[in-house]
Amino acid sequence: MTPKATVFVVDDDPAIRHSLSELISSVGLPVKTYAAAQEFLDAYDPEVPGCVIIDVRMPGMSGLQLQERLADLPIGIPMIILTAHASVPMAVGALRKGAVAFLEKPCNGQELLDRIQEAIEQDGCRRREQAEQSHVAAYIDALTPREREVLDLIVVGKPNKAIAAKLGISRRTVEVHRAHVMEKLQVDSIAELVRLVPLPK
Amino acid sequence: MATADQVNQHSRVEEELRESELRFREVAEHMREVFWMRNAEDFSFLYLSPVFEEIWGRPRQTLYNCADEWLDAIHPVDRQRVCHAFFEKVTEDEYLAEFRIVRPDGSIRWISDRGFTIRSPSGEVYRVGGIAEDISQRKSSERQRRELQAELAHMGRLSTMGEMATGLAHELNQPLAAISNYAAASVNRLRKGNGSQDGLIANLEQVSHQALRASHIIRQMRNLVRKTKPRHAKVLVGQLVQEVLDLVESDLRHYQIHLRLNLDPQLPPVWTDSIQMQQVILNLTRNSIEAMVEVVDGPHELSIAALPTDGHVEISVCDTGKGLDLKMDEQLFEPFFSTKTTGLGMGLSISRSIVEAHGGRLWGQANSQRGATFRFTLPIARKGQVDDA
Repeated sequence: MTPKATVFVVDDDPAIRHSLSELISSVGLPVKTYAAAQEFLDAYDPEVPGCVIIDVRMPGMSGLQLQERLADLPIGIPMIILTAHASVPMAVGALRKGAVAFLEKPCNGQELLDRIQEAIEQDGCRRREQAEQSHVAAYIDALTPREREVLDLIVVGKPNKAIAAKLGISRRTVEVHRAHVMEKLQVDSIAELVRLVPLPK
Repeated sequence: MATADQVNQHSRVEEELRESELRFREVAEHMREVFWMRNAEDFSFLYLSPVFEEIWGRPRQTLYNCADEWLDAIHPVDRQRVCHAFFEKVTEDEYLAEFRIVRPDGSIRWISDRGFTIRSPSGEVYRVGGIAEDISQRKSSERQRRELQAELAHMGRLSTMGEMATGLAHELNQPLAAISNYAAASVNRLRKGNGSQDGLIANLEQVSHQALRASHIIRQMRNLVRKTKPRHAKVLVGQLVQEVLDLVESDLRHYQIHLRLNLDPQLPPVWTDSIQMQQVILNLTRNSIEAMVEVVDGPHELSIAALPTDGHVEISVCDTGKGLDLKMDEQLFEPFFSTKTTGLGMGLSISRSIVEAHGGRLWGQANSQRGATFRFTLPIARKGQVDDA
């Protein structure tokens, strides 16, 4: 079972940590706080879904540096950047590096909760997609080389006739392969198949 | 019967006496200072030199008639202090007072008055004499200088606050953000009915605590920015240092600067204008912080100490920053000299002028290991010094 989405708070000011933790838990979300960027990195478990709220101005590793470190990880966690003194370039930079939101302290509590909710949904969505994709990858590995060739041509939009010509096999054989592919990938329609399978390189 | 010789001798003595009396009168009556003499028993006036009438704007006769007129002429604010000083000290050779007098036309003059004892041949104090000087002009140029200096100091504070604005906005926004979070959390809990009474009370207590934290910072800022007449009072240096630290605390935290305080708890109070003295401490502390930020490696340590030296309190601000270049030792204190890319270069020159106006000294030197130490002294408050109104 996947753990419940958790909100991580990284801020060096104890009053901010405590008040954010109180705000987030008031809507029933689990929350964990950290006083420093390194402390969070040391404890970070990519398996736990959720999002992280990062203060910009912190001793040691700054919030923006932490953001860069997190962006380098294979599974990114959605980041909300909070700062008590924002500048436009800072906001642009943070968003460009993948922050889902950039908020100025003090910010409206409801707005922050809304952003948190969105971030958690985005994280859940991404995790589901990733899970799906890893399943699909496993299914694709189970295809025969011929079936794989047929699949690659289907997802780029080739009709059966063209596939048959290209591979030098009969249309009937293409149809059999296609049925096997759809069965192995557990999809019911070509549309679904196209959505799941990445385009061949 | 007196012989002719005796008569001659007598008249010669008389002549000499007259001569001496004349010389004395010439001195007393041409001095710009008022010379006075009073009976040590009832303090009635025996003599007042004529210039008294010019300075006080009153006939001497009124004081000869009634000695209390002397006190009546003193400015009401100064009267009690002078009265105490005079009657307690004048028979012990220690009377010295500066006070204002009010002339009959309502104008005010500053007087410096000094008294001494006169003893009879048998050794008892039977008269007191003294010299009173009109020091109005000196006082007014002193005041002008003080006003100019205060003006300059105020400008310095404004520019410092301008440079610190970003950091201070951050310091203010932190408690405001916490308040907003606690309030929103409490609203959520009340709406959903998932808050315990204790939890809600704790949140509200935090709201009020954080509001005080914010207002404390605002008060400190306002004090420094506000334009006020310098107000001297007995002040504890430790308290001044603490109040300055409130303003730089976030910088210390942010740049991970370790703070070492060595404030002697037995330190006697100094007599100073708190705002200007905080300005000096703030300037030195900020310089130290900035000098350390420029040095990437090594320990970042700020030490502030206040220790008594003879008659003074010495305050030192020591850092492990980039230190001082010997060549620029004295240049440092010149206006518009700066080793920093930002900043006006007024901090040290203003600080030195403030310290010197308080009767102290300010100097800086490179440490033997690393960094620099700036020190200044302030005279310990004297017993008789009264806080400015």
